[in-house]
Amino acid sequence: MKDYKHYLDEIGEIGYVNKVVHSVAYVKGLPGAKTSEVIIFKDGGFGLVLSLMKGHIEVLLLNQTPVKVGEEVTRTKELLKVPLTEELLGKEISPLGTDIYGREIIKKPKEMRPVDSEPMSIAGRTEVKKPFETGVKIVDLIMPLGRGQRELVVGDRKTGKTLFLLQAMLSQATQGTVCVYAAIGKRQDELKEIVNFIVKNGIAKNTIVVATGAADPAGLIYLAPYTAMTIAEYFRDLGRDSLVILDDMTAHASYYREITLLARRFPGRSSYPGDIFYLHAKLIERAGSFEKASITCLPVAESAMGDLSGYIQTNLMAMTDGHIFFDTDRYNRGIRPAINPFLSVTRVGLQAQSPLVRDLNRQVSSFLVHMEEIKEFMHFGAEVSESLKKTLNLGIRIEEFLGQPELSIVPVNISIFTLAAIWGGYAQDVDKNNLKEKYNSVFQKYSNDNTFRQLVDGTILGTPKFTELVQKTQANGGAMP
Amino acid sequence: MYSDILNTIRTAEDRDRLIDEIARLENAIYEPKLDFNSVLSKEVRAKTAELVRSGIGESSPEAYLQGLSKELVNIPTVKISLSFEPSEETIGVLLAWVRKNVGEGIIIEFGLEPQMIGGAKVAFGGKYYDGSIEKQLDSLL
Repeated sequence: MKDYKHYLDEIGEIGYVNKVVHSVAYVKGLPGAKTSEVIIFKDGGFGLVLSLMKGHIEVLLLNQTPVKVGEEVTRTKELLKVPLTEELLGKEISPLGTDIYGREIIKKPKEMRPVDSEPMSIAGRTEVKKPFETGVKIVDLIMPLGRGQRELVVGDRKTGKTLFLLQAMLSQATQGTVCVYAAIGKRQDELKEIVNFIVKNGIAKNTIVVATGAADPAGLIYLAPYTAMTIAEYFRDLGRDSLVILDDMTAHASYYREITLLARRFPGRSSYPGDIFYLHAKLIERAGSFEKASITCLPVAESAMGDLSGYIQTNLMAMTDGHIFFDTDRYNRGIRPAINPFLSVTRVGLQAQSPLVRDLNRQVSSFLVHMEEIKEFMHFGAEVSESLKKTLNLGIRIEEFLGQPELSIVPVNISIFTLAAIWGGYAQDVDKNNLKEKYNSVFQKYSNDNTFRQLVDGTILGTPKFTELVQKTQANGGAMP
Repeated sequence: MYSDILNTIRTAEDRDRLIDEIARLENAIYEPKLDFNSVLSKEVRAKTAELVRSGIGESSPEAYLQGLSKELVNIPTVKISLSFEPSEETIGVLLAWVRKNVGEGIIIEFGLEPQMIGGAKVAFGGKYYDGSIEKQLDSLL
């Protein structure tokens, strides 16, 4: 972007700041201003035109530096654009495409795209056909995702949502997917942890972080998810699958509410503006499965006291293809990840899975429901028959298997193979407290032993039914540690 | 109703000074320890005091002053930046030209920018024109 003097001379329009209310400035003048146009201040700061009123325009401020009344401004005749190039990979940027200190880091961008654009129409879209591996067993087996799916991650604060997202990012980045993480109004220490995780695991070459801290201007925080989605669209058009993580959308809604209330918009439900649904839907709809590549989106919503019926939470559930619910109750009981498989949903994930995974999913989900019923029954203290004992034993093994340490990933093939082995009686005599160690030894063997890995991958590939796989794992029992 | 007093304003400085005087008079109305007439004769310019007295007439001073404050804030203003401080004659010439060619009742807000060297920068109604020598030299270089 050029400087103030250039635009003033070229366009010949000037305005003066009449009033400033936190992140919104009211400007008199600029008769030709349009909505969403970039406005530049004499001191170099800039903003976006929010609305056009009789006699003045509302400008959303995007810079930290305070604006004084009487300051001169001019228009640029441009929409807010972000510089795009493959050099962005490995960088932590602000929503304006600069580094976190406001310095330009991309000298020669390949493209400049507006941050706010229309979602692609139905013509360029395809079905969700390819699986999306998160590396988290319970998700990959019970509520699997597909490339191009929009899956909401919802739960109370401190239930492990961000850790799950980092696991998904690690799993996908190691497979070559471009991962864009939008940190929306996060604390500095949380941002640091995310960046450290990326660097420590060596996935920086496939990751971009669009970072906004809680102390940043509300206008900048509001733009973060849009910039992230624009970057993902750029890589999609280069033929690369992308993952966009929007952490978190409830904070985004709060900041947008702050901006609109300051701009004296009429408050709707819970004081949110009337267009809050449109704001998020237009963003989420930019993700999906396309002809060139896919953009998988994992927006995050924070609930209060496990209440999934909140306004923003239900809005987001309506515009996504399912949700993964992090249950505080399970978290407090020490279950990690604290995902509740009964309250989580995947709407388009199963169609992207192989017949084996679909069959496994059906059988295991049904079994888990049956387990819950048995647990309810046992509250009455009734005598337990032998078959019920066997079922309970298997249930304990499966629950231990679905648990996973934070920030670790397990490839989906070995998850399927191990689950089939457990179903067929593997480690049935091992004490409950030693099960984790037993299962970890299987995963270790898969990572380190080529022969074992080839056996597992080959067996999975050639088996369409779960019961058939169970039989094969029983036959190959000697290969298991 | 206010045309007499508004016609005395030529520049933004005149307007701001008058706004300050009106604010003191309004304060005198609401402050019990102050006397309106006393403030009018002691703290305001003689010309202004005379015009205010004739303007108020038989009506309420409060209503008159509130209306006048509103008018003063909404006076259309042309901003002209020069490289020197204009003399009375220059102000008179510029004002006459503006009122003849742009509109009646407009006042001028002068800015001083010596680096312009010569010429003027003009801004009115959101439109801006830079006719300074500095700009012409920049374009030549």
